[in-house]
Amino acid sequence: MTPAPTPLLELDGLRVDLRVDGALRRVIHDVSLRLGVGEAVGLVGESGSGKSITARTIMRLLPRGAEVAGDVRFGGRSVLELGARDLRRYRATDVAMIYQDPRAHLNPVRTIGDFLLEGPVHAVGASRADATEAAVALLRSVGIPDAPRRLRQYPHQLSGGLLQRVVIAAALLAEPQLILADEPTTALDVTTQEEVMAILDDQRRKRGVAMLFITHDLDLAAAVTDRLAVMYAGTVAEVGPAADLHRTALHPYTAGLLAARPSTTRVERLTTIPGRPVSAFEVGPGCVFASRCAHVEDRCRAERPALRALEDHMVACHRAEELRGALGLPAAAAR
Amino acid sequence: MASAPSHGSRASHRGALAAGRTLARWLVGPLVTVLVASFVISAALALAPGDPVAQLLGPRPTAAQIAVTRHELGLDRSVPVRYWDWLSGAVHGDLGFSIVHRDSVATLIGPRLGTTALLVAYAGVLILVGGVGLGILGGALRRMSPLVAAITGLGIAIPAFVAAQLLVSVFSLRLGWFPATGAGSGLADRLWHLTLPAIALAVAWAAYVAQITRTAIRDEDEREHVETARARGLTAPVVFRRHVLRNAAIPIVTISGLSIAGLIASSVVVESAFGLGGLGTLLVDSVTARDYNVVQAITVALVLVFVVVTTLIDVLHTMLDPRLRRGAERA
Ligand SMILES: Nc1ncnc2c1ncn2[C@@H]1O[C@H](COP(=O)(O)OP(=O)(O)OP(=O)(O)O)[C@@H](O)[C@H]1O
Ligand SMILES: [Mg+2]
Repeated sequence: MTPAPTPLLELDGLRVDLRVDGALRRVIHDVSLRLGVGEAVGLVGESGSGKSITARTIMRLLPRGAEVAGDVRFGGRSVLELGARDLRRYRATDVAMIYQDPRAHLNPVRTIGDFLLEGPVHAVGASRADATEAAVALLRSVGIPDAPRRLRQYPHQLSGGLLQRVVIAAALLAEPQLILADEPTTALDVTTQEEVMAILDDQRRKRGVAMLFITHDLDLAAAVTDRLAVMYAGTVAEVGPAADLHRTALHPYTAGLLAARPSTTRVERLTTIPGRPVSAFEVGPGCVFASRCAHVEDRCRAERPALRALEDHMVACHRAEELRGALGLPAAAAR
Repeated sequence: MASAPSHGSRASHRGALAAGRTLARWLVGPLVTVLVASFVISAALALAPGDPVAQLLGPRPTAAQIAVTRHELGLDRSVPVRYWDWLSGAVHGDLGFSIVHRDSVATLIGPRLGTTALLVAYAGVLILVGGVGLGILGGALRRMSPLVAAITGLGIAIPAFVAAQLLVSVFSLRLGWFPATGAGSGLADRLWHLTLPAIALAVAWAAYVAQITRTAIRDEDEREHVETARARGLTAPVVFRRHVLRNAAIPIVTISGLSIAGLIASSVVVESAFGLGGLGTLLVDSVTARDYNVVQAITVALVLVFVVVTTLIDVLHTMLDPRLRRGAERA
């Protein structure tokens, strides 16, 4: 799948510093990424690599005192420079967010109906009747048949799976062009994970909505997205086609991450990347992965590799050309 | 309802059951609490050391005199019998006789109850308007927050009697705006008289309520569901009203209710500082004089008010938080 000619979302040299105990701490070094109209991109990487912060930067929902450099452009417009009114309109109609834990992200004392309708009614200015009709229709399409009853219920009266469907419906109700889904099924029990994911995938494809899909599950990401972006310590290490990234990986970290994923047939991990994952603020001037990379050179420690195009990938590795082919089967090579 | 009849009748049965439970929780429960508390008070007073008769008959009464008076006052009967007598009188508004004032307890309490109730209501309004208002200001406006924290920190540290002296010296002695003592007559005059006492009574509680309100709002503001609301493009006032304040209302109601109940206890100090002659003053005097019928009536009244207030808090909680409603389980 080729990305659409005009990118819907562009992250350009994004850098984010968060305030921790009064001091700024770098959590995103350099994230560049593009999403085409209707395209789904998976954002994967170890815990703490900056996936959620990236999503929150796109929404401009960073904690107070955060500093952002670089740019986020949506439909060509800089999101970081939007005024209050435009920012509200952007959040209300352009981008929708789906979070990991629907129970925490719905107000426990307001009804499902309140939750669904307050976007269209209070942020967009639709009439209550129209919004209700649209909400009921959407609840049906995400597999909630008794919608009118559900609208009167409270979040604690619904299971996690149902709640996440409600959240998906709320996201779609705004008819956004982009959905940011931050581990949308992780908090659900295993049996409903698949259902909910299938609904999200299906609905977004039908409506041509682009999606940035954050997950730890590489197989799932490969199944529902077109491209995968691999993050490490606040940088994008590699972006490549989702379907065969395990064969075409160009970055040693990507290769290691793919080899380390739990196999569906064998429960234990095949290999793990040696060393512990480092945080963005701990890395030196060189490649963020240098401290754990099996292929590290002097240059890697001294100079940070930029994200550059190679074949149909984007990769941030000095040695990508040399290592091509040598990373294919790291599990076998390690043995 | 398009549901099958069997389903409908089951639902209405469940509804009746829930209504029964609600009645039990909000009517029977509090009633039992008051009954048990009044019995305990009655028994404690009956068993308390010191004899009211000794107070009544002077230094050296004869044994016969004592026995006669004890019998007249009904003090020779067993505790449960005395309690039953008191209770059956009380439900008809007969609270017994004050051995000190030689008058019925109801007549004694009546006017004083008015003063105390007005004082507590006045202070309660000050707490709600001043305390909750200040707390909301400090919680909602980040720039006001340190100022509000400082004011409330100071307010909490001021005991009611200190506040009373300060207010009197400034607003009645120096400026002459308000009277220093007395309860006044007629509503406007009474409110004028009760302004300084109500402020003295409310200051510390209002500061406390303001602190709790401020932190409740700031805690709620950081909740994930509030972020969701922001992420959907709602304006800040809408997010604040529909999510932050709406949810913070639960702890705010609790602390406001409890502080108003607490006012009743601290009103004693303020009443005596301003010479208001309210219930608190009467209670203290009656304890010293072992005028047990008066003590019993006032303490039971305090318990009653406390139980009513806590029940009201409970009712409000249930209205504010759907998770507490019975029959609201997952379906
Ligand atoms: N509110 C915050 N204040 C300070 N630091 C934060 C804050 N939120 C996240 N961080 C830090 O930012 C870094 C990136 O966090 P982020 O939540 O984006 O990771 P993630 O990739 O989403 O991880 P996970 O897979 O566990 O969700 C981490 O080092 C984290 O400790
Ligand atoms: Mg995350």
